[in-house]
Amino acid sequence: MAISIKQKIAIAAIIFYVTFAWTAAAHAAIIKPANNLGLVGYWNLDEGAGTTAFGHSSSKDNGTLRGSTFLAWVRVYNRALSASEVQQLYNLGK
Amino acid sequence: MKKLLLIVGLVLILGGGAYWYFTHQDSTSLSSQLQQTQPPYALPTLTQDYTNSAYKFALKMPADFTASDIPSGDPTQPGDTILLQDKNGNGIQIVISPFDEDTTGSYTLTQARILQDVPDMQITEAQPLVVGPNYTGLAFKSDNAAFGGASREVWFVFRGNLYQISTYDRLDNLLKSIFQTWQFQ
Repeated sequence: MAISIKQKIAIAAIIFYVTFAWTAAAHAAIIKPANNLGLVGYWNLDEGAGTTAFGHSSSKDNGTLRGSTFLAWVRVYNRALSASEVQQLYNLGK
Repeated sequence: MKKLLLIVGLVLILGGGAYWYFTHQDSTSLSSQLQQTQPPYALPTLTQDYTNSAYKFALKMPADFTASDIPSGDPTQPGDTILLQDKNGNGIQIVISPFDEDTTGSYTLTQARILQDVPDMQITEAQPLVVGPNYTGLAFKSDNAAFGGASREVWFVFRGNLYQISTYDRLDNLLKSIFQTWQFQ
């Protein structure tokens, strides 16, 4: 039984995936840690609902969402919010 | 005309070289000055208990330390960062992340394995570190720029997680003392 070119390509793709892509996905990467010592405030801003942004630093400063124009929580992973953005969104009660 | 261009070129090259040399030397000097001007850290007594119920370990830390647990917040890189520090930022950082190479309930984290993923990591004064009967990690000194270019590290794998404990080189004694009290439950 002859194997067509399409079948050969499919087999090659499967072998490539099993040997490289699957193997790579199976292993966790070790990365050099950043330094967070000295951190005084940290908010993930990923609560998804409600009006409280929970603080994770030792000061546990929870933020409160204020204003009525904020329609929904949006996850932001590619950058941190600027200080002015945080100021606009949260009243830290200070 | 050619001579003039040659002279201008030479001046630019020499000037650029001198600028690079002095700015580089200044930053190096400033960094070492900062290291030197830091007051020596007096190791306090470890009287406060810290317990982490999520990862099931406990340790002792100085009385004036506070603990922060910062979840990653990024589903593509899960894990937690735990900061145990005083109000001046003296303390240790513990980064915990899933590590799926621990499939048999035992793992030895080697220098070679670290360098496989972080080839530019400087590892000196490396010492194997036994964590329970089945796990061995590595204690070492590094040049992590995030810690002022001289850091102390204790890295190991335990029950499917990679633990990366880091601090400034000058707080090596603090790291050793706290780690001696570390107990998995």
